[in-house]
Amino acid sequence: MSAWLPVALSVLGGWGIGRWHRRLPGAPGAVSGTVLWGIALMGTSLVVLDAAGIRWTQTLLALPASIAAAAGFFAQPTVEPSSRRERTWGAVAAAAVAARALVVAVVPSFGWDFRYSWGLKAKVFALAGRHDFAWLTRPPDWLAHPDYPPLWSDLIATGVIFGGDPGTTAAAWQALFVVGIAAACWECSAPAPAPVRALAATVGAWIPVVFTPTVAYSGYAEPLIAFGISMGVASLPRMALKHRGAWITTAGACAILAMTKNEGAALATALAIAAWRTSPRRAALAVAAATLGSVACWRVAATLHGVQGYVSVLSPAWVGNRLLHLPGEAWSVATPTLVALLVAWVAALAAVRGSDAPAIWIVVGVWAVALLAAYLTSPLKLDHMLRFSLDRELAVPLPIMVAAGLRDVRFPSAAAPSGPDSAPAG
Amino acid sequence: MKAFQGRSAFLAAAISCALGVAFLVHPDRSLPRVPPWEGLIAPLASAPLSPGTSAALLAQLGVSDAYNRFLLLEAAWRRPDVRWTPMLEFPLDSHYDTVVTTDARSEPPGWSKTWGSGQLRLFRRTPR
Repeated sequence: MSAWLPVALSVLGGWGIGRWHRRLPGAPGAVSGTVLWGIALMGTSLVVLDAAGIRWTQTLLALPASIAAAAGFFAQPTVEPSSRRERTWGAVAAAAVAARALVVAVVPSFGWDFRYSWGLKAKVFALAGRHDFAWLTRPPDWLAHPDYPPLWSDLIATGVIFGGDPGTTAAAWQALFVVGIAAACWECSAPAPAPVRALAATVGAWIPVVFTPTVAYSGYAEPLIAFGISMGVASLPRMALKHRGAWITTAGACAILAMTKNEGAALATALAIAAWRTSPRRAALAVAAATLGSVACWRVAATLHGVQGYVSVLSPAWVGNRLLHLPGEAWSVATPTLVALLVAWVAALAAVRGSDAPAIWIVVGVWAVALLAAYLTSPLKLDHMLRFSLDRELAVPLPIMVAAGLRDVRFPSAAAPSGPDSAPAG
Repeated sequence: MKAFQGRSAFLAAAISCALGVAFLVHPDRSLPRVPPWEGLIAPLASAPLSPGTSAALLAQLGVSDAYNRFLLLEAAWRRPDVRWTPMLEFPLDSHYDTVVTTDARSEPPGWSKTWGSGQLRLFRRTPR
């Protein structure tokens, strides 16, 4: 139960901040906002305490969340009215989401990368009461990825600080991410009729590959990245409408992405470039600042402490050789799952249209280039990398892309302006 | 065109949901949930090692380098309060005075066994 305490505190704190946020136009809904600000609050608390040289304790982690929750009572958020049909379909979606969250929550994380990288660092940080740079400088083995940004390990460490087990804590956080991804998909598909939005939320909750209870992926960082990119993409259309609440959301999502993993930083960069091309300059600058600030914050700290990681190989011969072998290696590791994921991607992107399409295409394009660059410049064996990462990389942004594709779906009755059932449903 | 895009969106949603359920029903069973070396390293939890101790874990003889890497990581998982370093043999000229072995090798002169459980042995440098 103690593993759930920091998650519950985050929800409380996120609820409080989310209520203040929802005073602004374009802010996320109550559920996704709670998850976003809960994660951001807990992550920021840990970083600030560490920077101030103050040891992480239960009290110091509970304090910001309690203050934020108390402050939330004084906020008067804007409440958007919802139809009875929306509430009914929202309940249907909630049931599908709850089922998935429950399945995720009851299986403590046990993947080997979780055990020897994310969870191990969480144990070390919790013991030290801070980011233990001495340990990161000299880890027992490089499999621990000491150079990776720390947010996911930090969140797991909170459960250890409260006396919980890392595996149970990771499962608890990931159940929260399930809810957050589903809520972001529900919002992203907003103009669509309520049943379609319920479908989008279900797709979000039942995101393939990354929440799977397998040794290969259990407890990895991808669910947190999936949540971050889902929030970011869901806010982009509202950013283009100059809604202040939306760019604050995207900035928060980008900070979470950049502090989670290098792949997250690539997606945050993609969001920042999309914002630059489709949103007001001031809003785009805020998103870029959140991304660059978060990347720089960790990179500078890690470099100053001498933390090292895998170094990309930038020699043209190496990159050229990998590029030459990429199609063959990808074919050799292809599985039915991988093929199905690719088909789902093609179908989702074919469905994206309208004014939102340019932003989506920029995000996908930048992310694809970054992913390709990572595969081509990595010092690790190409077939090994593809075998153990390509499916989860493809799965991470898939639900929000599906939700973006569902945005413009209209039922014939709702589309016909003079029909008997032409009342707006979404 | 609009109808095609709508169908395309539903197809993407159906595949995504189906994969989500399929992965739950048929998870990857090629690797065991509990690492095979867990039982070997588990007694380390009660080993008399003070927090902050620098300890060397000697590579087990007759197993692969990969297996030894996982033994080391499992030791770190079990005792994150100890600074672990992989070594092939008992250190000669080193500041390490604590060694853990996972096989039945005998200690060289200048070392003595202070604790053991299962296949695990804890050795300390004897005072001169």
